[in-house]
Amino acid sequence: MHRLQYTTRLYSILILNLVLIFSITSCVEEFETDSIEYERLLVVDANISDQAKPHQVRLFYTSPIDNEIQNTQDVLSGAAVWVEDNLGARTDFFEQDPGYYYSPEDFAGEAGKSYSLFITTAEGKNYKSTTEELYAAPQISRVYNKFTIELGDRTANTIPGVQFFIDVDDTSIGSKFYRYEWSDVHQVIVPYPKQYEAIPSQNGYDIVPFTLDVEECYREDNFKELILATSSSSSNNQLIEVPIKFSDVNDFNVTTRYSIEITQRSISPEAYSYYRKIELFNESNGSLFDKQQGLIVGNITSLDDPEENVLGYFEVSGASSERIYMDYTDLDPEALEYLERTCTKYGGWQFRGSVEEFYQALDLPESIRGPEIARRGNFELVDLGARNELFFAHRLCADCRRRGSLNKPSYWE
Amino acid sequence: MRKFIALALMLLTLTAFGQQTTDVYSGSFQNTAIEQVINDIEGKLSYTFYYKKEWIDSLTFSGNFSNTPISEVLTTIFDGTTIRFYHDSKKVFLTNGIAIITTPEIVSDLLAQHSPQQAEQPAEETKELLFTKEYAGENQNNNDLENFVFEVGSRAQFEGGASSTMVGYIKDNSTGEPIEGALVYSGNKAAVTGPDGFYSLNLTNGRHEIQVQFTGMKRTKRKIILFSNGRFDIDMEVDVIALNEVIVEATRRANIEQVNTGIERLNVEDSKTVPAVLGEKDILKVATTFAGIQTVGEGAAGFNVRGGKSDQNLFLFEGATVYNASHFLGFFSVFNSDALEGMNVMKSGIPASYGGRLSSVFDISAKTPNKEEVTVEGGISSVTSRLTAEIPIIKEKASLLASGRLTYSNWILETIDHSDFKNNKVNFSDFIVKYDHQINQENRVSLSGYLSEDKFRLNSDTLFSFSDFSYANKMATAKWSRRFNATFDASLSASYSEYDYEFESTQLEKNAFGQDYGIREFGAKLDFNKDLQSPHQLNFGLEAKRYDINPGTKFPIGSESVAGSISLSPEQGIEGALYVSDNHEINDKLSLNYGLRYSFFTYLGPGITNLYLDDAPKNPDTKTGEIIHDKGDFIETYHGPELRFAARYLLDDNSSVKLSYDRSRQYLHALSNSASLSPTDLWRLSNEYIEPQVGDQISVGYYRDFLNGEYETSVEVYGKKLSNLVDFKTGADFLLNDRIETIALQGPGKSYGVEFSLKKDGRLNGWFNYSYARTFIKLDGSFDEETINNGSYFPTNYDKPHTINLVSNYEITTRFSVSYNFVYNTGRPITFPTGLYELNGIEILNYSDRNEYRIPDYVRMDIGLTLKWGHRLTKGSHSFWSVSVYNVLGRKNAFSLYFDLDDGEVQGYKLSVFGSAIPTISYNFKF
Repeated sequence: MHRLQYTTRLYSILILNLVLIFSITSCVEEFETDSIEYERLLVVDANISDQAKPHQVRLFYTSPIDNEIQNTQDVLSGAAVWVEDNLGARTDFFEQDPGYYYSPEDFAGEAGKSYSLFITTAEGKNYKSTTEELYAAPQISRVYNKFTIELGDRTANTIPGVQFFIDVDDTSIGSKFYRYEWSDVHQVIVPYPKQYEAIPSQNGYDIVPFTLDVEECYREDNFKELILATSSSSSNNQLIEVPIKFSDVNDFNVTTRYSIEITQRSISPEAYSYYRKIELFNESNGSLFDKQQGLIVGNITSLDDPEENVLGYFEVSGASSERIYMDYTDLDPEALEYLERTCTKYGGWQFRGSVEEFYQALDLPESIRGPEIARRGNFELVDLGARNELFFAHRLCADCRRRGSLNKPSYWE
Repeated sequence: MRKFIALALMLLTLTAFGQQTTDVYSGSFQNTAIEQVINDIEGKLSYTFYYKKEWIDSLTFSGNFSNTPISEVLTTIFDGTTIRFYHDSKKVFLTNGIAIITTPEIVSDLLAQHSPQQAEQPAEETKELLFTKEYAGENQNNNDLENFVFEVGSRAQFEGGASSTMVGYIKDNSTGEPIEGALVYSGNKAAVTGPDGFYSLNLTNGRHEIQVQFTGMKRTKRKIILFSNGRFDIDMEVDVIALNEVIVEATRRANIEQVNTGIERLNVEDSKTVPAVLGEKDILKVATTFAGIQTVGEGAAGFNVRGGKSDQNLFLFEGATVYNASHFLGFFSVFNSDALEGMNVMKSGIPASYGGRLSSVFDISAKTPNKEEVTVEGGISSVTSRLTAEIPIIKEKASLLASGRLTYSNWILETIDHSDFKNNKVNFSDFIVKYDHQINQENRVSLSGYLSEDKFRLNSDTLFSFSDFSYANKMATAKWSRRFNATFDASLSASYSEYDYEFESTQLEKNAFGQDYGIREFGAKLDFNKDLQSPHQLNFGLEAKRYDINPGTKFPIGSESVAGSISLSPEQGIEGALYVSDNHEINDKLSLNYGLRYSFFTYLGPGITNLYLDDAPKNPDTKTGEIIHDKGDFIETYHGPELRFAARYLLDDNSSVKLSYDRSRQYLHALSNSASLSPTDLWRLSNEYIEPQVGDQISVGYYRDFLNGEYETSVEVYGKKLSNLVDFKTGADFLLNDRIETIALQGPGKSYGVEFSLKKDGRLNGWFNYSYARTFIKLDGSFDEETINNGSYFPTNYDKPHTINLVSNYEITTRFSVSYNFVYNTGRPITFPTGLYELNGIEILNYSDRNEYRIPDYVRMDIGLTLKWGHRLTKGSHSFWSVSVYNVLGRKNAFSLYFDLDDGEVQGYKLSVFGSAIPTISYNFKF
């Protein structure tokens, strides 16, 4: 009997301790950054590629870490900016907005040529990049998605979703080093576009017709992380399953069609190792195995003051893009099992009574009103029936603007 | 009434001269029990005899006396028996087989001339060495041995004023095991016992009081008279009270006597009541509370000794190198302390027989198993259970030690129904086996083996997300020690050690891959000790090692995977050293220990040397070609002398000053991007581009004991000059890197500091120390990417200027004690972001100069209680409960700081390994 008690006691202590041990890495607190001194350095964000378009060079300064990035402020304006190729041909860039310099529209780099960037500021300070060769980019062979469960940010929650991948069957023409960009768009067509609207007023709600067409919207998004891959260790010149983007399955809760465009940039090995350092710093944060962080200088140097650190990179790349369109039903079937289609789940709600009565039920105690009523808070009036009944629908299914914007992208097919 | 006084001979020492006796005695006996004869004498002459009944139980006497002088009577009675006597006035003291000398030899010689009939002529007896063991059965209370006067050497060879050498073995009287590291001293002369318990002490002939000290054993005193060279063995008793206590200092008086600075011996017993995290007594953790030994934080696997990098410490287990001394990222050391004898920590004044690392040596020895009886020791704590058994194989000759420790965390994790833990996995185990065979007094063989394994998967860490990670240490040692004579001994040992790790990333089926690393080391060492019978004691020998490294292979896992295979070419090297050192006692006050080690290293083929442009930084773009070397080619050889010097000068009985200088060379480097050692560190060899690290250290100290050694204090100051320290280019990626010269940087370093230390013995015991320590590195290459912080000296990752440690233990009763720890240190340096910018749509932080900022200071308090059960010695079994609370303040000490960028907002975060107080309970037993 005594022994038994002892075992139980010990066991509960064991659990207590283990909970403590294994939650160690989640013991994270916010830390005030006030003590850190701000260092103002020039940043050069410059890209040219083999695609004919206005290429952009952006010149600005670093901002303090307790401020938001404000691209329009603290820029380097009034500089002379140009690119020279290895044959000596010079292309000038012109400042259109403060700090933003653009090449002529027809300018395109050529594979096999090398380019350098030159900057002379209004004060006469000179900067120059190293010479970068342009490598052609191979075509992306496939874009597809697969069900994945990802871990939440610093929480132990898991997020079901899909990972978009690409394959490149033949990378033999590229530089073997790639940086990817994506932009995607969700098309949202709601099943109950609202015809009427209940507007709160002094005496409850006024029901007025709603004339805007809010049936069809588009939600666009862009990459915000470095996506790098290399085929240098691939045994057969293939790039297989390069992860490009993860989407929470709930991103598709009201999506009807979806499109993603992926741009593959064939970059120089030096650019790759520059980005790789930045990526390592970004991903190693908070790890027990922190990497050595420090200043990352790109390929731009000051010709006047060798001590001056210049940030940023003059990237020269061959680019190839691939866009796909798909219905939400084309997601990995396993992911569909986790997908909760809001409008299918809630449908419309026919109600006899006033708008006030519809919402008043919400004020009842939870035990009386039951879970059905609680959902009414998410519903809004969409239409009126022939016999004065009211039709309500989930707000996501009544107004597409809640999950997108009415502007249809020009490229949407 | 029997006057049953066992050898209370202290009484006699002052009454130097035996009384000229005129008593005469008459009597007649026929096979009479001697006791009866004594009774008769006592009755007739009013004498008192002191003796132990059992000595004379079986003795009878036949003969007649008629007015015979009493001394002649006594001589006649005990003739032919083992009984010796001393006669003083009306008292007669009997002993069994021991000659009693109560007067200084010169006086007693005179006495012998003046009264030829003096009680006993012990010259014959003294030729026979006396073993304290012979007393064991006769003296329940061994303390009395302390007042006994032993003769050492032969009286016949006595030469007044000359010096003689006394040698012998110090053993544990309960197990018969030799005690290594015991301090044997008399006055200002001291010696420390070797691995077989052997000591050698040079003293002037005459009377001495010898003292022996060793942690966990009672301090033992012996009175001797040294006639000539001779042998004297001493058995020490386990200090019962000390059994489960913190013993603050291993060897009292070692503080001031020891010649080398910066050497501490730590015994396992020391670690028992120091509150430890997760209930494991841990000898290596205790070491981090000593002045000058730091870690970069909780959960950091490596040690930083006096501003040294974590790869600059040589961990030896039974002479074999340990490449990763930590389980589970540093929360536990890889050794089950139950199976350990102790550890020598050397942070300066490193003897010439050790080499290969710049900062320190941690020489860890396994217990020599008990040869008398089976003992079992073990414990259960929150996370692990452990068991150690010592088994005699041949009584008094051979024995076996087997020890194991396991975690059961996996099982527990699975039973907790919480998704947070489902994908985490932590598992480790370690095993120690040692066989010890004392073939005879001259030869001893010991074999030992070690195995440890860690397996874990941590979801929350980005680097190892969904990666299974495992690493293992394997070691084996065989050692043969031989004593040729009293002044010359040798040992030959062979060792093997291996460290491997592997991780698997199988989250993406088509890119599933595994990656591994391994280092193997074969070593052999021949070591000689020669006592020159003068104030010189020589130690010399040679050592050779071979390294085989698999710097990394990557391989696809599963048939679906298209991950490419990468296999870096293996590295091989040989390292050798010759060394000689002399312990030279110039006089009572000044003692020197100087030596020279000459080490050499060869990077062996097969291999490839990459060639780079001369006037460009070494990186993959500047590679111009390569040279291919065949198997066995000497690709690059380095060699150089390492001078070691230590001196001690005794100012008076209680204080001394010491000075040491040493140089070390290191040919093996751990590549690590983190501030501390981590299991993914790669040990790589010096090659044609990576030069050996060389370190010089000068250390000066003042040592003083107070209140007869109850308080020990010291102040040590040191300075170090280092060259070719290995660091990295910013953002270096060294995994699977075949050309480490393209990412590594080498530069000079400097460290300096001062350490104050106070230790106290007694019911309230413990230690307190404060260190001020700085350490800097300079990376000033010829090119931008090889220059950090504009090529000026900057603090290293592990530069922590102020450190305070307090470890204390108060014994409330013999069963119950409480302990308290306090730790403070300055936060380590860190690189902070100082600006923010956006490039190609990505937000990027710009960082300050390397190590320009510091994380917040570290403060921690722990408390512990120890409650003993079955304390009585006779019960033969002990057990104790210990309850401790680690980090009782619940302070969230920062391990690191990091910054997250979210929509242009920078948020700083502080990562704490332990965010709250951690209570632990453990149960320990021994029988």
